[in-house]
Amino acid sequence: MINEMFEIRRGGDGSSFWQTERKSIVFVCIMLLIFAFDAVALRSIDPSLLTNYNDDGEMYGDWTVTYTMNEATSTDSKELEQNGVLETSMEWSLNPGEYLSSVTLVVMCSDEDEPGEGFSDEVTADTELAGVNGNVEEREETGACLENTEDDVVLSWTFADVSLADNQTYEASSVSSVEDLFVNGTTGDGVWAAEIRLDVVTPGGIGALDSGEQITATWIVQTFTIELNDYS
Amino acid sequence: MQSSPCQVRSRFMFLALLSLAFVLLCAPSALADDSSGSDIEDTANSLDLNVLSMGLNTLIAGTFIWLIFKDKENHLQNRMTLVVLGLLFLGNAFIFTFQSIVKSGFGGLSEDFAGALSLTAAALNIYTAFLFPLLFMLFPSPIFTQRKHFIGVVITLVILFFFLLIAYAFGIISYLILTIIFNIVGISGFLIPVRWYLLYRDSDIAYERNHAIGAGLIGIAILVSQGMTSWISLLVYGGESHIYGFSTGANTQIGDVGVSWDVIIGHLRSVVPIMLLLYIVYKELVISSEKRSVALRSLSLIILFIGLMNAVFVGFIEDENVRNLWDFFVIQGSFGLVRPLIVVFIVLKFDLFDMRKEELRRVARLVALLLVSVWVAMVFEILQAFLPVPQLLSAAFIGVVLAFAVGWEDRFFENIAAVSDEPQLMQVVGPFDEDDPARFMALGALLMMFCLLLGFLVGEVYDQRNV
Repeated sequence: MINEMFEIRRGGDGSSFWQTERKSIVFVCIMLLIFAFDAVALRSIDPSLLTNYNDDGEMYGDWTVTYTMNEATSTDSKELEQNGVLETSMEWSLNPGEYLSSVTLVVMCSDEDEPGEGFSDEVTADTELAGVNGNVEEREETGACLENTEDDVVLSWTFADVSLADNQTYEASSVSSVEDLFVNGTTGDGVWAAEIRLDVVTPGGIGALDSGEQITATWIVQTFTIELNDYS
Repeated sequence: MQSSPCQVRSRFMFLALLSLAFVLLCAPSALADDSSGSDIEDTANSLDLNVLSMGLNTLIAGTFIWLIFKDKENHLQNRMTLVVLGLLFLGNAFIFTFQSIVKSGFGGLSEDFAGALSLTAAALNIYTAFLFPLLFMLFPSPIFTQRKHFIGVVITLVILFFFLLIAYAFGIISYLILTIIFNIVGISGFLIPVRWYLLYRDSDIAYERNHAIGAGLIGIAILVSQGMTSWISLLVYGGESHIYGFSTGANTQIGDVGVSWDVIIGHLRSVVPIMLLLYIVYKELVISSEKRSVALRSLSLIILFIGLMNAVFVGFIEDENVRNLWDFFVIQGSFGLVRPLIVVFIVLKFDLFDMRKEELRRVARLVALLLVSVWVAMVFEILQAFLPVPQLLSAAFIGVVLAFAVGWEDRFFENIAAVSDEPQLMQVVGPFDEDDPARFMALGALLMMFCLLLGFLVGEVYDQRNV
């Protein structure tokens, strides 16, 4: 049996059912109306307007991020004599949604006409980066043209950290907050240039053997694009 | 031996002055040390708050269980209410314990173990939700007067609980079905305090009004964790915060057409608590002064204000740490912090144990002091995140607050505990047997163990599926 204080009054004491139960009836009716309204409203909303967007129109979600790597190379090669200079450059621009991962300049020379170890020619790479967007540090580096080595001078600039996109998940984040992780990769395009200078090192008495070297400069530009997939 | 009021006042003043002196001594050096305070990020980590909530809930659960078995002369109806409250707080204590273990990592938990604990906490959450209708059936007054009806409902709830957990855990039913059944049970239960409140709040008989006030208080205490603080969502098209989630704006489950049914059905569970809160606020503001309940009016306005703050945080605060912290405060804090206070107030206000017994009163006073200590520590922990108050200074403030609390607990009890021979609420014996409190405690403990077992079992099943 229901507690007499709690049971539904049927109006037996002269008052009508409506009089005794009107508050409960109104409460339940309003509750059902809200149920119905919310259900209809939420089902009829255009998801693209409602879901994942905040007031600024920014998209939120739980994201898995994957990336696609792209690589572009440019090679210049020339045989240089003593103090000879190879001018090399590469120009490119970032496409929308593309991030710069790294730029590498690899200089190769092989001093095969020296009598032995310790008598290698030297090559100096001096970069000229005034035409590059952003604040990129210019560098100068010298390396020995050792025999049978592939990369004698390697200069590398790292921009966005691509490991942040390597199947990483970012929960409850806006698209822009994920993209901001790669903001360092939004600059760095433009004209990358360098001067490669050869210094022929000739020990006394055996100069006739040393006749300059074949210098090869290769620019390697690694860019990537990211893809955000909402897994929520 | 009782201290005289004069002695109590002197002791209190001495403690207050001592604490104040301590604060003044510590303040300059503490303020100078920038690294001494925990910042928002630390607090948003919420481990400390979890641990404190665990302590608070354990303390209250332990007290209620002690009262059930110590005071066997207490009316069976009161003891049964204390049983359900004790089980509820014990369940919450376990939830906070498991969450604390998972958050702290305990120096290297395996993923399997951490996952099993998280699943157990989730199962315990459902367990505590099933206690809500049971509690509403018992307080302010049992809605059934015959044992067979009461036991019938209890058995139905237990079977549903087993069915839902097992069926969902092993993929027999979808999340949508789980939500629908869960909502039917929940909303049916939520309507019980609503009905008590609607029936008797305007009554000219104080005895009847007590039922409405008790229902209002227990309704807020329990339903504060069911979306009550997001009452503004009712005014926003479709309930924004339910769709976006409280903290991150990313809790979306969107189908091809509109919001998914899972979210819509889940959202409906918050409608009744929100409507109850808004009606209580309205009613308590317009009711005549002789019928007014200061406690209920203050409480409903506080929850209303927290809801307003919630909307501000959801809408305007972009700092993720602050939002996470707020998220914890309104969601976990609602049943970790707010509920214990309200329930203790209800227990004292409606004489759920006999305050005239010296032994019970002594323990209750001790527990009240401990409760104030833990609660104040939690509040300061949260405040520390928002204000650049160094740890040491905060600790000193806690000392000051406690100094004020010591000596007040007795007066507090005198004020709220209406000790009289006349029961304040209708007392029904019919549905209960003398051994029921012990039986229900055992049943509750078994169900919690089942949650633990299921957590580990389902964790194993998921592992095998993933392999």
